Amino acid sequence: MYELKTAFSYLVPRRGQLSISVVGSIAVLVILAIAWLVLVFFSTTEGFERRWSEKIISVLGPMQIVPTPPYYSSPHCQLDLFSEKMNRSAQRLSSKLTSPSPSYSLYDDPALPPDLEQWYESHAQDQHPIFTISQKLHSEKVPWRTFESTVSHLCIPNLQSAPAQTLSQYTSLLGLSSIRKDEMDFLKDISPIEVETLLQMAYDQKVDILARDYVSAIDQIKVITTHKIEGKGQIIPSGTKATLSLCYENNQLIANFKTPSSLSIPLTQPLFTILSVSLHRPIVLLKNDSLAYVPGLGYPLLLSKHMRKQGVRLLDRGTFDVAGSGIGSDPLTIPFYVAGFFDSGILPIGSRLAITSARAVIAIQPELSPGGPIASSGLIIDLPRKDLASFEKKFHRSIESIAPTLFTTKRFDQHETTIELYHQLSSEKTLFRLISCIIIAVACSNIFSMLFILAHDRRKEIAILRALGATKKSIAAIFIIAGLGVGLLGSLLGSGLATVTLHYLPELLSLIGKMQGQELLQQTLYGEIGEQSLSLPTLLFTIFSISITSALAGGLAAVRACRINVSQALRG
Amino acid sequence: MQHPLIAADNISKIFETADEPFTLFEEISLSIYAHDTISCVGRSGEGKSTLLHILGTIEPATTGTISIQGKELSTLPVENLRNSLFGFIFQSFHLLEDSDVLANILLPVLIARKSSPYYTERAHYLIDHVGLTKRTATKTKFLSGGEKQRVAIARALIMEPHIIFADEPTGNLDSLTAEPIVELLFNTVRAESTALFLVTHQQELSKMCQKQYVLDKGHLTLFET
Repeated sequence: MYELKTAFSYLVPRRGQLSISVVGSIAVLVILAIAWLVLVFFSTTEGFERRWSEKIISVLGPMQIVPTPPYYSSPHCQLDLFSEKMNRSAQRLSSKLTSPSPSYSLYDDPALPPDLEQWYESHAQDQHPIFTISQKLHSEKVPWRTFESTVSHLCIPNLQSAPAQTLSQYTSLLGLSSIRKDEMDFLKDISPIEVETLLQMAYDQKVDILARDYVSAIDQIKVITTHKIEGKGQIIPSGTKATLSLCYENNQLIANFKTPSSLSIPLTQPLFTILSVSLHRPIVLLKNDSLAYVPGLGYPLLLSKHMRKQGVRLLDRGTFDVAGSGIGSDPLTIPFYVAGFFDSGILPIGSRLAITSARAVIAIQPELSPGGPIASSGLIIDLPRKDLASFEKKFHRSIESIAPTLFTTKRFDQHETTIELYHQLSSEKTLFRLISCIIIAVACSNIFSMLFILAHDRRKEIAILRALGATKKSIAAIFIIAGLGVGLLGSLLGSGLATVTLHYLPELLSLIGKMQGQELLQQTLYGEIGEQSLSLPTLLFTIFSISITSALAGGLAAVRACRINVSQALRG
Repeated sequence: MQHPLIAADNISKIFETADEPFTLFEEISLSIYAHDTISCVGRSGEGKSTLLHILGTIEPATTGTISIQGKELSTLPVENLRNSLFGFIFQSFHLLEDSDVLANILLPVLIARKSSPYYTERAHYLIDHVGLTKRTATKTKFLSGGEKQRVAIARALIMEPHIIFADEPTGNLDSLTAEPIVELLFNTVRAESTALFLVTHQQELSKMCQKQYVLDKGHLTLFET
């Protein structure tokens, strides 16, 4: 490419071109100085900002998943508050049936109806005995718990150790080592992999749990759990008119179930109302046909576990009073039977909020709890800053099907206490960048001067090129390349000098401090100023803006070069 | 019928001055065919070089039309014509002083982005032909006037043009130096089967061409064929 070659030949200082050589050298030096100044200034201020951010992150975490105001007025919040009091030990009937202790008996199980035998006899002729259901549960083909929309807290005592390499290390890391092996089914898909990969897998919703190192400076646990509702059931179907009223009194949930008698507690003051019970399928729906409507029993209903403490038993029956759709229309009564219990709700506990699968909840021992509830501020997400934006997107995408309006993410710079500071920093940065652009433009005016003189001095040579067939575009390209070359040379030299300066910044500051008799950039305000690294975004910004401006300066000089009268220049 | 390489029809050149327009020449019509050798003589300031520049598309005519191989000039890419169809030899040589002989000769090839072993070979052939084999890598600023004009001749021929425009090719040379240059020019033109349009004020040189035109008082007259 002769344009490049010609542009290069124009830039090489020559004895016969003293003025251009001097102006060109000045242009390079000025750009070098500007690039150095911009890079040192922005890299240093970014260093300060980074240190402030690290301190802020050490308190708030890089990102939090926090409940939104609608969450606090939603039934989920109420359920979560109840769930907080729940016993989370595994109470699966199927597990009791598959691995019963020698002394275990269905008839003595407190979770089952006391009149089981009688009930069985009375329903034997209906061909819907309890054993039919039990056998179905026993066969494990009925995923009767897997649909649960269960959210509970998951806490990890200490993640200071190195990233786990094996499954046992993972379980240890997650505080699960004391859990029985068969309770760790949910971990079986987690092969010994790096935490980073695990994180990615969690993004892709392939695993339920992931954990990351936590910062030792914070006595907080950093856990990220994801929950994926598999579409096998739902707690609150939409578009229904049935009503189930519950109230909470003396740490007990009271519901208006009319039968059996143990639950016929009159409703005092409803604490909240679930308005969306399906007319055809009550509260918790099973899409599995095996637990569908049973004639004589009603619809299968799964209740929150705490109700078992209130005396509710499997196969207990009751009805919902469902308001009619129009004024004066008769209420409907929907029969149901208790098909199981579930760990309910989305649960903010402690300073974090964890979302996980039912299996995880069942597996985690309650004694891992970090010592009682404190004010909820959401789940801390400990991710590198560069990953926050992508995590945010993935989180919102994944929660869309669960509770889109109830939870949101909040980055460390979006917190109430920091948002003003970061707004201010951002505006200052924009202002300084604008000022930098102006300074760079002024610096690049030297390139324009140099190339303008060059276009005049080399007019004969330009005329020769034109006479030999060079187009105006080619001539313009020569000058744009020349401008770009000067700009790049200056900015690269400036970058090198800035790197050296930043490397020796502490010594430099100390020297200036000694010269002026007092400490420069006091440690109490700015923290310890160690060796600074060159800010990559600033480097890109500097090189890009200088390149654009110098190419522009080359372009302006090219206009002059292209206007040369070829015939006159050849004869002159 | 074969189209002329270049056909000028009623061209004129008028310069705008502070007082009134100055007409350098007007109503000039001229056709140059392949293999023609044409000279244009006249006193200094008559517009010979301007006419050459107009025919070589370096400068536009004020009025009239120019056709290249039967096509209106305005419809053609003039840079391509100057690069591939025409070759130029100037009185002041107009070489790139800081480049060597080979680089100067290959300059039109670089501009046309046609660098290839063929053109490198041809450049070396032309260097041999103009007798500068030993000066191939010498910067042209170190060459004598005669040598520079030899480089210019080789450069004009590198793209195998259809016509050479030579503007006072011996104007800056003494008679001893000029003689072999003229011989070289005509021999080369003959060898390369190229047309030649030569501007000179030397009658002897003019007489070496098949057609001799005289530009006098703004009018071009065919003097001898």
